[in-house]
Amino acid sequence: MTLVTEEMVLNMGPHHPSTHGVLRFTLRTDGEVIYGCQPDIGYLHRGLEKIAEQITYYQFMPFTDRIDYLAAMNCNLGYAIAVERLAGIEVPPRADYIRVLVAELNRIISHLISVGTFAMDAGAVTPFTHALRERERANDLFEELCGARLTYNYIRFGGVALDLPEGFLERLGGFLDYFEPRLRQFNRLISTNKIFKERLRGVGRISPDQALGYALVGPNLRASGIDWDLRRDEPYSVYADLEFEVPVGTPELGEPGDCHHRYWVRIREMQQSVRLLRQCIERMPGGPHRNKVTRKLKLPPGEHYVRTEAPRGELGFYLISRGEDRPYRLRIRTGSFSAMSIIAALSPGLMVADLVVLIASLDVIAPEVDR
Amino acid sequence: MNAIRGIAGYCRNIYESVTTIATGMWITFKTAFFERKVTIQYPSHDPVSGRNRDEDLQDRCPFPAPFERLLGASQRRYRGPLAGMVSERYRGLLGHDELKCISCLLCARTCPIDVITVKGVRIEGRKGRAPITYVVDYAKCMFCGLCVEVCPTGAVFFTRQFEASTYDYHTLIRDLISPELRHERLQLAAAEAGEKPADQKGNV
Amino acid sequence: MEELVHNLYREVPFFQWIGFVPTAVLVMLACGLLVLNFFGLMGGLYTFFERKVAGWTNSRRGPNRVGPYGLVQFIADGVKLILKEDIIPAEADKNYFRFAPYLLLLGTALSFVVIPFGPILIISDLNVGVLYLLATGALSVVGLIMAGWASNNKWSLLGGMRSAAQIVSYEIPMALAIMVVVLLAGTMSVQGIIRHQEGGVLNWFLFSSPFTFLAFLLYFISSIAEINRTPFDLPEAESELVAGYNVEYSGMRFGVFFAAEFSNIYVISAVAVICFLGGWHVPLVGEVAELGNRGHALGRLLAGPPAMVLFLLAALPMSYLAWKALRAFVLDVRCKRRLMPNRLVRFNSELLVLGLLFAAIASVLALHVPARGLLPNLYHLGFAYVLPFLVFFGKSMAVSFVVLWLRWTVPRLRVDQMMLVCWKYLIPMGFFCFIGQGFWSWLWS
Repeated sequence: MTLVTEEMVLNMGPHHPSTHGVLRFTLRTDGEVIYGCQPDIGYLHRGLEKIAEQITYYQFMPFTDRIDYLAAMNCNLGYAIAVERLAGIEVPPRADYIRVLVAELNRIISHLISVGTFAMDAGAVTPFTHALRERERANDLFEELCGARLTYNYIRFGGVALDLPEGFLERLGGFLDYFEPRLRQFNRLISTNKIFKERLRGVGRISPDQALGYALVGPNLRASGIDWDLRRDEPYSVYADLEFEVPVGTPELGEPGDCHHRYWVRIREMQQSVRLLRQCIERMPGGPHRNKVTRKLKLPPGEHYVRTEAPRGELGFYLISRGEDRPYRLRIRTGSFSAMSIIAALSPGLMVADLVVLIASLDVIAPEVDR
Repeated sequence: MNAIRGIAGYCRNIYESVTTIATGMWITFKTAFFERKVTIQYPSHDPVSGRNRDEDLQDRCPFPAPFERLLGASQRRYRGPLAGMVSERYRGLLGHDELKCISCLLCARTCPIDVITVKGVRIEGRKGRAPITYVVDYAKCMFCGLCVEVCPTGAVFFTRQFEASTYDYHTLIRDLISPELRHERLQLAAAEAGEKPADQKGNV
Repeated sequence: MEELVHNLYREVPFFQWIGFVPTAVLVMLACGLLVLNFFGLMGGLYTFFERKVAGWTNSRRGPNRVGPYGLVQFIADGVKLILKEDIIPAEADKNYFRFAPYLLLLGTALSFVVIPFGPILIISDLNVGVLYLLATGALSVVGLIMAGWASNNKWSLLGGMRSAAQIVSYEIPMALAIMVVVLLAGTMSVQGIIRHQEGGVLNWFLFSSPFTFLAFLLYFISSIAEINRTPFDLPEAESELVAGYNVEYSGMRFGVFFAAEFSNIYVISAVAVICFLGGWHVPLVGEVAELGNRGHALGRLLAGPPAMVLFLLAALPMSYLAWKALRAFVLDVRCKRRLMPNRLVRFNSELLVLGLLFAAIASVLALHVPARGLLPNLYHLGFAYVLPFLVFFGKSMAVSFVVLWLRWTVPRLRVDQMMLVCWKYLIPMGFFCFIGQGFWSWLWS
């Protein structure tokens, strides 16, 4: 007598506590082990690229915050650099350092959310709240600086919108002194926890070839062993003058490319960002914080692609200008979109619990996928 | 040989599990009983002045003061800007200075989502035009600050007010010019133009 | 319960008038009501403690708005659940759907029959008490599978299946750990096990031998798996299955699931206390009294004036801490009622709890020796009824605090890892403890 078995089709729908944002997956499983996974995106599509064609360059800056609202400064920065390069606008040195400062601080807090939600998806809620507690301190700093805690709209063409307030650098130093022991404590709480490590080991191993084939970027790429970081390899702003290490997945934690490596690359990136921030604080030059740029900015006709290193990988802006005060086409390339595409390829053979961990480790967030 | 390695691995697994879980538990225990809680009891805490509205108190280590010194540097050095809860540059609801505004309409044109509607009239002795309506749609506003940045006179600014929740979003579309001022200015403008005085609604 | 029925029938004329069987039925109904009340109260209070402990470990406060220090929160939750709409999915198997929560409740409530709150405060001291506890623990499996299947939801089904596998597997190490205790005590009756642990803290089965210590850890871990708590809470993994087998339940049906799970925490902590932590024996105080009673030379020495001095000295630091905590509380209250100017007084609700605890310990230590001499009746009443009850309760609360604490510290295990831990680690260790304890007892006999 043969046993009749059927595949179960499960809907890990847009309404789910552990898909990061509104993402939807249709899973075919045999109960616990997944045979196939079909992602379904578009639930958070807001037509940002179309909006860019309707409003001027200056007016589009607040919308760049919403490409990745957890790392808004980096998105602002990428867009500003894209426009400035095409228009040939210069940035004063103080503004350059301030930009790197806020971008790195934003990298820290974006990674805090990433590892926090990662731990929460694995079952431990406390690391998430602890990460958010640290994030709140940094958000207080951002609030002092530009008045908002999430969507900053701080960077402008030719510099930054407002100069640093009185005593900001001391407070930032204080935050870093507070944060480093807290990060160590966070590691002792969850990163070295045996149960956590067992959950992550060997799950979703991405070989370097596969990573390049699927155009993965950022920490996902580095965890597979490929040493590529736009801040060091194609430096923009003042990254060429700053010294920092680029964490890459190494064999000492097991073969590179699994979730454990992606987690540790992010933790170590946070530590490197702290180092970068301290250098920025030391070297902050005086001078103007913004070069005067006309608001009715008309870019010369042309097209180019500018990419910067956002926390979730390469954030690319492909800008086509026809000589008007608004772009003809602005294409935004985000790291999460590529990461989303590899999930379908990696999922056969995983269990449902592993799939959750995989999505969390790739740091896929809906606004970046859908724009 | 493999068997010994296997047993060693087995014992190491047990040892590692126990030690890492125990470390984690100690950290959460410390957080639970020996650290300041970060909750800000919001309605009791006036967000603008930072004053406690009903003398609500913050949590603290349950042991007397000498133990605080054992908490360590990381606990004591950083004091965030909690007093006053929102910073000076905080982007709250928009405010409008009716006397400074010259109705240049730069804010309305710069706003990416057309939140602001301004109308102005020419009045003797005043530079530019005097605004008679300044409607802000707070329901759509994303508090980006482009309007505040472009204003040449500083008439538009951010207040530190953020409590604007209502049950009906139509109440969020507000005219920031007071009706008396509007009427007064319309009368002035009509008088200068030498025509009949306008009625309350601004119809000539 | 049997003696109670017999005593009542013999002494009180009202019950003689009714007859023996109605008396028995009345007493049984009364006991059942008591059990259900306690079950409900424990279920509710534990949800409150859980949220408070969750808050504290997460650097925030728990609920503190609803009553004084948030104590009324669980009642508010209960009222909310009752008022919710009772939704039964259209395609669900209605009868099984309705019946499943009560099976879970049954499993937990039945365990209360053999939980001893004092030397005589137990509903029924079965002479297979421990076996009975293991059996009723297994009853919940049926309820879970029924809930998972009847919900007509694939996620619930997954949760129910996982849960069934988990509970059935983890019963084995749990039983093995308890067998170690039964081996030492020679009896399966709970009162018997507790009586074997009298004579001081060092006589608790926990400290009897390294094998019993290991057995305690084994029991603790397996019982956490039995009640579906993190790190073994896959059946209700929030971030994956959105509450697993009880995802389709709403309103009071869900409330029953919830209360049953939390009362189960109390049950397993109580069993841990019974088997390993001395049950209702009062640490320190009772032992000295016992020693004095038995005419031991050391006991007579300790029961005399030197003991009084010693206990008073021990009571002093407790009193100091209690004074500090309660003073802060009083100042805080006066501050709130505007009797004092707005001064910056530090207080939190944990301080009140600790203050009361210290005050209780201090008063027991300081007062028991004079009480024994001056008020022997009150003393014996206290020692026979009140103090063991409080001590048992306190010990179970301490063990449950560890269960709650563990939830907010560690992530959860995957299904196959959970099975691996059970079959490859806990069961071999269980056998190791059992056999080792056998050797140990033989060696030291």
